[in-house]
Amino acid sequence: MKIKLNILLVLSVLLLSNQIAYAEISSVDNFGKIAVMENGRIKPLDTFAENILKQFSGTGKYDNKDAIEWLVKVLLVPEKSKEDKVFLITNQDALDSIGIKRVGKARNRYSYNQLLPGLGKLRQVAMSISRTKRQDRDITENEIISLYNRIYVYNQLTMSFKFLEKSENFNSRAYEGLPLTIIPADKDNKKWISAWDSFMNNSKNITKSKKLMALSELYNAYLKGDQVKFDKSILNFKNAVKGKNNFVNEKKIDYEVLYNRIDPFYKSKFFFGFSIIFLLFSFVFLKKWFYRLSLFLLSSGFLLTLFGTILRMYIRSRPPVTNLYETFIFTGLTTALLGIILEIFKKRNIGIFTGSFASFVMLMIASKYALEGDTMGMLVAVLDSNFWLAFHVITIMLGYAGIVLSGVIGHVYIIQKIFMPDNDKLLKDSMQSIYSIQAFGLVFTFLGTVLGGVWADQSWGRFWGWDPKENGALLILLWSAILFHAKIAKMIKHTGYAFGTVVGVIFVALAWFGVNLLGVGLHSYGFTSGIARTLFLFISFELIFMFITGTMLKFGEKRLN
Amino acid sequence: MENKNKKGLGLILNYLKPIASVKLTVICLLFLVVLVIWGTVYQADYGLYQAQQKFFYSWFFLAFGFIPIPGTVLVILVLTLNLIGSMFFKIGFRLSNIGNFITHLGLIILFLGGGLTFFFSVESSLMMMEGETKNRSTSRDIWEVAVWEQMQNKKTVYAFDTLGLKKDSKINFTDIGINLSIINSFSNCSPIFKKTGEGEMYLNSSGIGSLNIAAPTLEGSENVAGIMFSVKNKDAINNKVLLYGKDRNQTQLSINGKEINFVLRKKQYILPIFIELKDFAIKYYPNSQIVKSYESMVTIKDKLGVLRDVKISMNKPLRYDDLTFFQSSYYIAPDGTEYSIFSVVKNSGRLLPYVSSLFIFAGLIIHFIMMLYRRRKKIIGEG
Repeated sequence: MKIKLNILLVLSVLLLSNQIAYAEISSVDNFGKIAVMENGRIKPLDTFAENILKQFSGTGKYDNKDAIEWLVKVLLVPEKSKEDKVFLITNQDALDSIGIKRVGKARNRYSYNQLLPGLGKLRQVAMSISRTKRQDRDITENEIISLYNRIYVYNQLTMSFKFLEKSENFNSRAYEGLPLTIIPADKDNKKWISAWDSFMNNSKNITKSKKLMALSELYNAYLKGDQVKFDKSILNFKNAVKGKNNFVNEKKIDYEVLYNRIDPFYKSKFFFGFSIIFLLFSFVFLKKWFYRLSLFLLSSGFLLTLFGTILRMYIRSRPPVTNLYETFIFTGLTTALLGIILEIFKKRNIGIFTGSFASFVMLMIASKYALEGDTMGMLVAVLDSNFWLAFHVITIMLGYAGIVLSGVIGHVYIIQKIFMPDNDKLLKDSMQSIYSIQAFGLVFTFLGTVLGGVWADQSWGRFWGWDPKENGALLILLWSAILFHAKIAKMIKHTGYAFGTVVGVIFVALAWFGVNLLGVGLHSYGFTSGIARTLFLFISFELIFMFITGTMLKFGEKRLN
Repeated sequence: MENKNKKGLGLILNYLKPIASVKLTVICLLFLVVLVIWGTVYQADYGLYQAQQKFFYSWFFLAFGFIPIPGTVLVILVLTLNLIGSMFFKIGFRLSNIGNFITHLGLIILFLGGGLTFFFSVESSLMMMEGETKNRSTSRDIWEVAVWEQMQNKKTVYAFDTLGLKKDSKINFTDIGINLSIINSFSNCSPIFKKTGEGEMYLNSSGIGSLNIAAPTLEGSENVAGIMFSVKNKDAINNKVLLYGKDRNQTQLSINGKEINFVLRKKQYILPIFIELKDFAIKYYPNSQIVKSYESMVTIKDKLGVLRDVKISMNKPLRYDDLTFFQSSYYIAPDGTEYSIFSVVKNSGRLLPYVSSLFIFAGLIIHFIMMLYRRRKKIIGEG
């Protein structure tokens, strides 16, 4: 039986190799650990693959496999990747304008070969659109430009190792400056070049360079399906690249691949989500068990997010928050921790519910930003200060987290007030939670804002300049101060305070996204497009929530009177 | 007598009490919220500079052209008085209230620091070519008229700001022996050149006949000022002069046998040191267009003539006395010459925000810890 199977296997490999001229290699993990220099950062090919695939298809995996498995095909056997459906198209009109028929859903992924008949038209249309100003383009035009760019990058990637094909006739300039720069070109680490450029520098003679020799071995081993030789050639290539000046920190490369494999923030999102679901179960049956499970999930989500954050800090040698993406991760981490602490002190479900909910939402938002490209990008000159990043940004994010969480508890309080108006103990507990978390938020928002002022004083020469981002933080501070003082002056009571914290969340959203939409001021480096609608929807939702619950509470009071 | 006095003091205090009202605090803070939102949204259309001038550096401004609204300066002044009042009448100095007291004291220091900066700080700009040495910085938005007598060996320049000048304002130059009387002064304008054969109403070396007033630009630094004034000497000879900010020629006038020169330029500040720009460099991360740093290598020569090499880069300014030099921008001319632009800030109240922040933060921490402690005690008591 076993012999039969083996014969079958050998036969099928032979057959396949005849047909497609290469046999499958069982693991390309080591290939993913080759270093590539992109946008100023040395990263593993694994990350490069994931970022490219995210930009192409809106997800970091293809066919439930890691992106590197797709990329290795694109680089070494491009023909085999042309059937892979990786080009996400969300706009029907974009397809129509290049004469390609829709397949299945309006939002669907297409292969290179499916798009091939329309590529000539795509080029023409994209060229004419590129003459218009970016801000004047509509959704369809943006999609066409995006598709054109993706196809362009794909084509470039397919050319990366063409010089290893003996049959290829190299005569074109199209091979110059390809994006996969895997070979350092000087002693100062100022420039890395592509394998093809290195091939040209070596007078088209592979045997002149150890790196190119190793790549050639790698290529042949891949085609033959020889795993051992494949891995060995990767090692040879890495050693050749290392040379005298070792620019690559292998440990960091390994950890980054580990980070990609674990995908901590994607998984912790599920922990937080299920924590909420099980908490709701606990209200209906098996109260104790579901409660414990829910707290366990929240804690696990927190630990996983913390692990991911620490990994990122190690890989980049930076504090945890350096860009917009990380602000959401860090806030999610903080709200989870605050939720756990609150639950330990109050044991009233409120910590689990609000902590899990806020963290879940934060990680959801973060995952949207992750699609924009490398989330570990290099820092522009003005941000390049670990000291201030560590102090100002972290404290302000702690503050935002506090204000957001108190706002979420504010929502809960309002709902409790409507449906359980007589449960004084519950309401009192929720109110106390709001106060303490709000106080935490106020202290850190204040500290963060002031430290931001100090940083601005150090780098721009003024403590305060009424820049939109500064004003956003100031609004949150002012609003928190108003709530505290209005309470002291007896202008508002508990319910008014709870509504105030909901407004506080709106201010946080405005400070986070709104000011960037204005696109003015020194802080507008975090500019993001397409979020105006979401922000508008969020604010509308909060206003409607406040109107409906406010009306219900008013009617409830009248009925009681 | 003593009783009467007390009564009098009590009466005054009674009148002053409303200033300490917490409701007033809330109203002021709400007002600030409105101003901050309005001033931020305004920036999208009118830019940061205009918004600063209208909303944040003003006592009053007109909404929709006719409704007077208190500006941030006024609101913060009321808030400061309210704070001082509340320190006396509400918070008081008690051990149980120490956190609250320190926080509010910190806020008063913060506002005082803000006031000092607002009224007394001076910001200017220093643009230098590689190899150039300078000891003068230039204002970004304030203009001045410079006046000097043409002499062979000596040149003493007198100058006056055009900011806030009104029609018929008088300026005397006793050393030169002339008086100026302002006819008109514009903060932003464009020149109208004289047509050939047209009579000379104003004296101007570039042939500008009059000025057309223009709306202020989004950035104050882009405004080009203009001024018309009459020059009189003791013999009451009257000449009318027109100066325009972008005019490259100085206008010359002969009075009492003296050649007097006039020019309208951005206000200049003499620095206590000489600065030489050795090299300016932009560094990029490898294989990217992401700027890693902007750096200027300069040599400074201080009052004592001591030379020192310094690197000024983003996040690493040069400090000298109460002056700070920041790497703020750069310019590369079409011929490849590199210019580095520094922002020069003189601010004696610079340290106050630091002090106040420490007070406020410490106060808030003490306050909330004491609150938690009291609540815990209460819960234990109830238990």
